[in-house]
Amino acid sequence: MKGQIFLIISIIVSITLIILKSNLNIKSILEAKRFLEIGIERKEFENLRNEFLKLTQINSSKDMEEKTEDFLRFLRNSYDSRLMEFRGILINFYYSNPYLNFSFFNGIGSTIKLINISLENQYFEKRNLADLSKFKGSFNIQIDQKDFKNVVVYYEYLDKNSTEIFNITLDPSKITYFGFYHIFLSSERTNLNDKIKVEWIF
Amino acid sequence: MKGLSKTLEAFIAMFVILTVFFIFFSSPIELPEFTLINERLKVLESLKKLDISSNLREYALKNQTKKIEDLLADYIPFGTNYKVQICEAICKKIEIPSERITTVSYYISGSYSKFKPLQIVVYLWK
Repeated sequence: MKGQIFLIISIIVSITLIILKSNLNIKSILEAKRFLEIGIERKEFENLRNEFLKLTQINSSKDMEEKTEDFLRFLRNSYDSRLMEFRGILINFYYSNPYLNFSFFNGIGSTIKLINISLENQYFEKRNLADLSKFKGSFNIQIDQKDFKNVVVYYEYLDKNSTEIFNITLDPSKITYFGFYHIFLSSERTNLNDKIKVEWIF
Repeated sequence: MKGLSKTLEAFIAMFVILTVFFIFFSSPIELPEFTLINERLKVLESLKKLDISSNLREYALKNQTKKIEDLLADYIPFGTNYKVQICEAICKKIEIPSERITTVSYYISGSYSKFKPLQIVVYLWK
């Protein structure tokens, strides 16, 4: 054993070098980088979410439908040029006695197969709503004083479906705007989505 | 003879160590760039703060990029160059004197007086 001391030392040093190299662990460093990049995308998404909320502060109730659609189209174009995807579904309600008007805007990037919108015994259905198209209708509501109505919206998009119940405040002497924005941001790193509700009574 | 075998053994030992070293360490280890990612995060946070505390939106609507750059001056790390561009949905190409550039985009829908979707783009480079 004494005679092979140099060889033993060389084996120990070689093993030490191999352990050092494997402990460098590039994989976890890359994972940390990816985590940071996802964090940036989450912050961006938060910015977009807040802007949809601010939109309702900027515009009058009558313009809300048009402005939310314009903003969605703007973001879609911008993110498409950045090789990411921003998509959304916008449902706008506008109440001015006695009509509760609604619009359902498809900005999801593909056809929405089925939409049902119902309020008590009134019901609207739309099949195969194309991308960047809108479905509109109006409920006739007879009320004498302030009331709360539940509107149920069911829609099928991509391979999923969603049922939303909106409790909307209706006052015959005032105008109500209610908005629901279902927004999505996706990239090769992440898929983010959120549902935003806003209600304004004028 | 004994001395010769020891010398030979030493050479073999050195050869083994050098071979292992060159096999595992000959190609340089490329670590991913973290500095620019951290700076992007800081700039995005800064824009959010400035949106609340200053006239960031008004400057963006008037395309006053120099004023926005002045607002950002306190938040950009030392040694990092930056430039602000105000774009609509798609930005026009601008010349930046570097190959390693990163960008931060901050979107606004307008201000209280005007609906005008824009993106505030900050280009960062070393």
